[in-house]
Amino acid sequence: MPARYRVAYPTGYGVYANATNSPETEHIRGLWHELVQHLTDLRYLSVGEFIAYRQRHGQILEKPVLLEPVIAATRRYVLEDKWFSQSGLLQTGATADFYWVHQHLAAVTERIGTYLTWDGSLEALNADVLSGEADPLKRSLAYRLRMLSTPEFPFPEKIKVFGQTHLPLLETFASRGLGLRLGKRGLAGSRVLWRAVTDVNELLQRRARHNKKLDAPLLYRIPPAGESEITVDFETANLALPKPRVNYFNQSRSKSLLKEARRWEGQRTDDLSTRLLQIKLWQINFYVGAIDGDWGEMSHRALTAFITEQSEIEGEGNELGTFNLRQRNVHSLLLPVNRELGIYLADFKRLTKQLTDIVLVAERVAEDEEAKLFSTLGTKLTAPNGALDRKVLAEVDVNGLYPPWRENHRRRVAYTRKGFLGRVLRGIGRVVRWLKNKVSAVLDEVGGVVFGLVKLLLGRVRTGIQRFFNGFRYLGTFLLGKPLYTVMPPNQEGTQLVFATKFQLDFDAISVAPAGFQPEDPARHAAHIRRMIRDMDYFIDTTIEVVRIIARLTNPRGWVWFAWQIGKALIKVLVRRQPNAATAIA
Amino acid sequence: MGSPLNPSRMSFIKDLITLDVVTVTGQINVKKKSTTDGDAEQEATVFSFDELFSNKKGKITIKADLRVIAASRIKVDQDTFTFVADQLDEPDKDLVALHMQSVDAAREARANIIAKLKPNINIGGSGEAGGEE
Repeated sequence: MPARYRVAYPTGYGVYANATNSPETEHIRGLWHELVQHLTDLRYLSVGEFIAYRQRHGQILEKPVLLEPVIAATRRYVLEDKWFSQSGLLQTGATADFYWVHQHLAAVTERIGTYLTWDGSLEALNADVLSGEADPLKRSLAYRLRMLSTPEFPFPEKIKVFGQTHLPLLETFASRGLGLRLGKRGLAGSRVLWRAVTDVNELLQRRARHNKKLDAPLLYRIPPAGESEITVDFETANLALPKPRVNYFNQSRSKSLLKEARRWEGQRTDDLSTRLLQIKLWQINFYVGAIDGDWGEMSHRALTAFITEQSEIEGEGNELGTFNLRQRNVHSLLLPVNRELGIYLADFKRLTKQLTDIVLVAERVAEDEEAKLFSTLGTKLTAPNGALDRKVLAEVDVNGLYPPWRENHRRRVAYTRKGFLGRVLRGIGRVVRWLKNKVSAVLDEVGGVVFGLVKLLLGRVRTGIQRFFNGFRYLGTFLLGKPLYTVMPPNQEGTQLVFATKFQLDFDAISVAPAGFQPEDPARHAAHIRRMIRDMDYFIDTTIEVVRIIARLTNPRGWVWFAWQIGKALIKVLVRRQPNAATAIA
Repeated sequence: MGSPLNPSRMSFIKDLITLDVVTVTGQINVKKKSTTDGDAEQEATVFSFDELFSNKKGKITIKADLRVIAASRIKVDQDTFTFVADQLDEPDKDLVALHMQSVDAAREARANIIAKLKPNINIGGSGEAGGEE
């Protein structure tokens, strides 16, 4: 198997897993990075620890000591999320130490990610979570309110866990921010609120309906390249409709938009809706900046990239250079009204409508979309699986879209979920062009569906392959007679001793201890054996099911497709909270 | 009706009803070998049990210069015979504890695997976890 498909797993079999710096570590690094982002958003890791991690994230596998704060944070998370003990992933008496986290990295990352979605799938977040001890749901609520915090509805940055004392803040947000009438049962009875705080579409629609001032378009300035920041008075600046490129804009809509801009100028002070638009553009993979309500250059780039993609989707099959009405409407979402000064006019009202039309659907609907995606690629490309393997696994073209972490720790990437496939299908033409190497690496071209698809597929590859190879190790040890090694820490001479135990198929066992071992070494090896035995059921069951999937394949497919199938099956376990992987896969 | 029992199957069943666990120690050379797998070069730990032991007709022979610290034979009726070498020094006594852990592990692993291999007999109920998606 070529190295780029691999996910490193502890080949050294130390209690502390070894991982070397080689191409195969890319995926495992990706999993750690994602986990760290989620742990920070739920404040199991502090922002300071997150920054420290980011500064040295290239060295985490060579210097596992750098991961110690992450392990400690994961331990706190795993203790709070009862799913781990209920599902059997964390067995009685076990602790989430380095070894355990390494073994279950994909599962932990996938699981924690479910608390941070904005697609309405976190149904468990409701009034019932308001009492009791700290748990991921209370942290998730605090995270959401931090994201939505504005001068009008401030939610202190330092609050890690939502508690009873914060209820007035939530009530104010619900009533004044979204216009919800809280009946006698208050927050507990407001299903709409609980749906809204997990679903950015719902938030956008409620907010827009409640506050008509949000209909006002936004005038903003992005200084042309090389020009310094100067304050521009929009009221006196010369604003004009862009010179009409034939049929490019919807002229009448543009005219009325400009008129509205002049009428509303100065009144648009709401940055909650700006935050919501940033969250939505982030969710669909155009925005990689901080959610801060500041509509600056990154938000502008995200919007232009969205318009480019949306126009392409609406104009599928059009003759080159001509634009249908739907495309002209899309182009009119953003008008360059003074190119010299770099002043733009954004139609936030219609933008909200366009964006909320993009719904990330439930997992079961996505099942059909998945089949359609692979079959469509099959008809449009001569070797779709090869192209996917080559470009997705190496993240060709999209690497540049990841935020420069060192410069701004508040930037984030959105980890795409399966519900995004519907959007990918709409933009399949763009995906095909990318797979045929016909796009350049700029946000306008590969942001949105391409970036989203790459992250979605990579997520599945990482989950599937990491989990599979870990599981295969158990299969090898307990069914195929592959010896179980424990590599001891280096002694003073730098020598590492190796203990080994071989379980044969009929379960005769032979243990070999090297001469010159340290007093604690036999106990280390015994602990390693115990851990393997403890997890064997969990890993062998899922791995055997994966092997069955392989056996059912009727024609060879690419690695990305294959890993997708594995990842999909394993993620079902996490989504459905079923402890038995085999049942979920079947 | 099942097929007639053949000698090789009988041997396997015989192996399953007894469990031999051996723990040895001695000077062992672990080779680090560079291998090329696909387009990646990697270093693998080579620890050849075949060079150290042979197992013919259930009889384990030690082919290298290794000392036996302990050996156990567990029969399906749970009779257990354990041999522990005498005149063990302190470090070697720690290996006896490791040996006993290996016995437990081997017993547990075998029970788990047999449970997975046995036919799924369902008495008085569906027994199926989960449901339709």
